[in-house]
Amino acid sequence: MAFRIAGSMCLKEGVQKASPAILEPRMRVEVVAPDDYTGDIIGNLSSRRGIIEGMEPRGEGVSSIRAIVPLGEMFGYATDLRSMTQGRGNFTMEFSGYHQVPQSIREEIMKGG
Amino acid sequence: MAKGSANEKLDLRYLRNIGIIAHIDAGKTTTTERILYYTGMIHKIGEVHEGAATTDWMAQEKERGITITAAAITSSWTRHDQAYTINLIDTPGHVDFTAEVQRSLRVLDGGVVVFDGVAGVEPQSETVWRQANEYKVPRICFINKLDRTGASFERSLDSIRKRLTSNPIPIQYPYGDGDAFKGIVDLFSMELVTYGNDLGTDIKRVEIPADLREEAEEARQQMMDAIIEADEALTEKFLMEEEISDEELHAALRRATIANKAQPILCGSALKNKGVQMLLDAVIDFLPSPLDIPSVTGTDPNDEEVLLERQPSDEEPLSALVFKIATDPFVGRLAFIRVYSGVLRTGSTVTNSTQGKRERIGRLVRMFADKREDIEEIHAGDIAAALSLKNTFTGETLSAPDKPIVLEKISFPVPVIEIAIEPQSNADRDKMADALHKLAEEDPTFQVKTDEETGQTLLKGMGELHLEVLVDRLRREFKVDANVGKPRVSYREAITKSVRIDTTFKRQTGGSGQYARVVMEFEPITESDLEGAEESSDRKIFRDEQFIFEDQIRGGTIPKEWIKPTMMGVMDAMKGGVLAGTRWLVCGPSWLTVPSTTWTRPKWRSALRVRCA
Repeated sequence: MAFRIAGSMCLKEGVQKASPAILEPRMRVEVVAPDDYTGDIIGNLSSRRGIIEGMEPRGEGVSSIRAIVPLGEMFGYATDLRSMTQGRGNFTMEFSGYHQVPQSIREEIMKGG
Repeated sequence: MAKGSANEKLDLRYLRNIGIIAHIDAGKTTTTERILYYTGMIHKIGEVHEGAATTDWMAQEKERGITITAAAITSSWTRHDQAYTINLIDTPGHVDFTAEVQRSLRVLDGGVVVFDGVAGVEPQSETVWRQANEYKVPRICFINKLDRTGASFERSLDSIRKRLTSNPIPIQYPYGDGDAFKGIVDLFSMELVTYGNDLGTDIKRVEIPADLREEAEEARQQMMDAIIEADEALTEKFLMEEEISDEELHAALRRATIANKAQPILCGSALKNKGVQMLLDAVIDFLPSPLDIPSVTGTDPNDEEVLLERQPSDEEPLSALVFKIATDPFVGRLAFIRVYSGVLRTGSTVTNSTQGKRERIGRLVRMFADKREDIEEIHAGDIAAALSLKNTFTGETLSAPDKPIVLEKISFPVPVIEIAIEPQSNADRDKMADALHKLAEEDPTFQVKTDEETGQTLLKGMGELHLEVLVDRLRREFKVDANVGKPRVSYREAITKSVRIDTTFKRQTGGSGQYARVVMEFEPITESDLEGAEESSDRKIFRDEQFIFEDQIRGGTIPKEWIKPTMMGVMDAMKGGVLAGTRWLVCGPSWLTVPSTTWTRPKWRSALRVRCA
């Protein structure tokens, strides 16, 4: 047992000294909506700390927008997107990867934890 | 009770399975309510805005004035002295409940699309229109609310033509709109239909007044041109300059509607009881009976390659689709079923061919909104409900045990939003799991899952209103109090530089004490490091998804029994996280820790003994 506790203590100390960072899950998001709304959609994704990766026309006046957005910022997105596009926009998302959070968010998380 | 509702054998020619679909607040439920009134199913019109509509029977529906569940109701209507049975499904308009619309469309033969005469085509009308196209459901349109200020028949018609890329053919023309809305011109008989009272029971067919004559004539001409254009036989006749009768036009429009080449357009105001009877006539005249649509196809459960077909006839082997499971507060689990072929009888045993299980049919009931009537059998082409089907879920097929068939499942959209839910007390906790399970069974777009990392119970659904209603039902129907909130995100921690740490653990509690000293190096690694870490003769490595542990002790200076507990200690600590107490420590794919270990021999003291776990 002694070594188990020592191992645990060692890691905790080590991590503290090794400039730890907090990582957050980020999602690959794809929004499909009529062209008229793409400006609003991109603006909204950016305000959610999203990184726009690209946009392409899907024909019939509809475009698809691809972005990487932190999962923590996606709460309420379905509703937002609907009100922005009069219910004509759709989106899908899947897990993309973990990435370091910016300082401001890190402080928030540490306070909350 | 109306004729043709009980157990008499159905003549399929006189059956219509229809649904009322539209954008939210276009007046679907109001229209349904009027239909029930005029068909004698109810004796007083219940108003949606007063929370008294027959089909909105759930507490949440009454309060919010919206329809949530698609209710199936049977009614009857007499047209040309023939009684017709109409199975009517009122569907929700709100986008959050789109699955209800979808599964209704799957089992319907025809649809009435209601439009708001002020707003014209609205976003959700587009969505349901697309869904109806997908399931090839023939439709007629009803431009509603023409009594409202700002309503315009022409503009609504125009938006249908443009935004739905369809072929609408008006068969009626309104006499005035907004406050001046006085009546409706029937473009076939060229009569003006006026209403003597507000109940819509005193209907007079009069000659078209002079001020409307010209417009009406023009509208009729347009209607004739459009019908002729949509029908080959008539086009030919027209080119030969032969006389075309109203009956021929009528029949051609029916063919074009069923073939989805045209949609007859009607108008009126459901709230003011104008045009509803004519809408019912049009349902009978233009929408298909189960015999008019292609026979149903499915696959052999034993061999997916084999396509099977079933004619809509009582003589054929049974095939039926369960399109909805509802939990009724009085009778329990209710399965709504559309029988495509054969007869489903009480007391019989059928096969759930989707699962390959047997089901015994207990009670069968015909639904009248929230009231029900026991029946002995459901015939081909009909829609009714079964009680106590234990193992059958939405979208599954019931078929004759000796002639199994699997009909195409109903596809549902994937849930898009998540909320976290937490019971308020321990008593609620037990009930909650059970209640959520029941709700999820009813609604294929609602999912429950437990996030293993955060330990939260998450509800996934189609929208905030959808989940809000479900949580409300949890409280009222299942008496479970719960708090909801934003789902917790599972964060990770990782180190960003290398460090070397020397730790000593000492404890003396009388008797034998404990002592251990560990020296380790931690360094960040990448995903490729993790993948590339291989054990070889000169590297002793342990790894899991998050870290690599490399034992660099050489020459057996440290007993092996000490190394394993040390690593376990590291893993214990990694579960916790250092920065924010409850989070996981770790190492996302791009940043990982390698505890490489070097060991110094622990110092022995005479009074202490080193004990390993």
